[in-house]
Amino acid sequence: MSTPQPSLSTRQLVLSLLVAMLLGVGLAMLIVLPAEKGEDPTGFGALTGVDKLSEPEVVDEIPLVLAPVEPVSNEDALYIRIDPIKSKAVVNEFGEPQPFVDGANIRQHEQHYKGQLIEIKIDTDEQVEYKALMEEGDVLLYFWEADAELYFDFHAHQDTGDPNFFTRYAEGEGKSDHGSIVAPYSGQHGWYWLNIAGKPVTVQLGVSGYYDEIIEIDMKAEAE
Amino acid sequence: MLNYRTPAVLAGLLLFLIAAGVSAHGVSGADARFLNDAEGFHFVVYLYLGAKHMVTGYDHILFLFGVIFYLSNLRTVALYVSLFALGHSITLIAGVLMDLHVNVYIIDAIIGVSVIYKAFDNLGGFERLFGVKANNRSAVFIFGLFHGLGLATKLQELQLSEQGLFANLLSFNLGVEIGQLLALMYLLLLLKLIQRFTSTTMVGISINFLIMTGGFALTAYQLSLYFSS
Repeated sequence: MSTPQPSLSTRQLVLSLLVAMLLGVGLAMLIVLPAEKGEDPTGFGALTGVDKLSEPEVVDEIPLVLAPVEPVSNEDALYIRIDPIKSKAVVNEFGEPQPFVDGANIRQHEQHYKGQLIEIKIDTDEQVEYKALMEEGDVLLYFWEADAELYFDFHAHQDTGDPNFFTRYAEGEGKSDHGSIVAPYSGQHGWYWLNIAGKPVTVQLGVSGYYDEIIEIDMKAEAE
Repeated sequence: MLNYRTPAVLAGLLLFLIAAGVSAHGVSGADARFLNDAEGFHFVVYLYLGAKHMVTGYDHILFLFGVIFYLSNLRTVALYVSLFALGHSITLIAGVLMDLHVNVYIIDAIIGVSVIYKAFDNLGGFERLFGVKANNRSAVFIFGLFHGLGLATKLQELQLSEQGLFANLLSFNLGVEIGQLLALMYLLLLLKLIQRFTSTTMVGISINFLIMTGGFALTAYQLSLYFSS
């Protein structure tokens, strides 16, 4: 059940090896790599559109969680194991876990969360203030990064009651901060920055979560 | 001499290779999730995953096809396939149990090299260029060791539960052998078909050239993934 084994000359062998290498490596670099991994060393993937095959499925209108980090591939994410929440677990008489009723731990919304990335330029000695309008108990993830040190005051004002009353989350001097808020009450939650760098500074502010909108407080009007 | 049927046979072979390549290699999404969550002994699950890995693992299949291409009878086929199975079983089991971690891209690149090696050997390359006839049995066994290491790294990417690990591993390995036998049946059928239509050396050269090209593509692909990772 065998075809006769070939007897090729040295020249033919070397030639077939080289051509196979050229074809094989070419195939991998021109088509397979862009199609499978979106890496396109030659630009041929973009030219022919095969690089589109490796793009993750995009769901319209869903804002991304804005984060100043490299995205991980969805393949890696499969292997992240999330431990079940052991505390506060409520079980019924059959020993089955019951849904949480505690709104501090889980809260379902009708709308998808929002996300925004805002670039803010602050002149020398200038002050600006950005606030997220949030309902009590809602969650916001945030980060900001400046190209020089700023004075910051991270605080909140209530919607109702004494307008001079405010809650201070954090204050200090620095180039960046990141974290999360669970709004202690409905109102404005956000950041006051004063440029103490002696030169114009640019801040990237990223927010993601449940909020109505991000507003800029008019500091000149406030001062009057 | 090529006859008029040759292009059809080659096209059929190419289609087969493409079809094998389309299904994702490795342990895919839903399967991976199951393995991450599963605890204890799951015989059929691991058996199936092992078989699936082999049947859809185009790099293993290309190598196997190269190995059996010029074997003259079923007894020799059985001998070589057993050597290959012995090799990959050793490293699959030892690799997982001893928790050996080898870079998956490097291993897959070596597997690609094994494909190039075998096809080039089939073309008589080593004999002509270096004047030595490669020892086919040890080559198949040694590359079997590398293929097993590849299987082990893929299983290790999942967080397997310690509970029932050895039994699951044996099931996976058994599945791999079953899958290999299944793939082998198709490959033998394909070989028979090719030989029925044409028995010229030209066809052998063309097919081994294609296998070699596939080996280069696999190696280049895996190496570029290694360097960009």
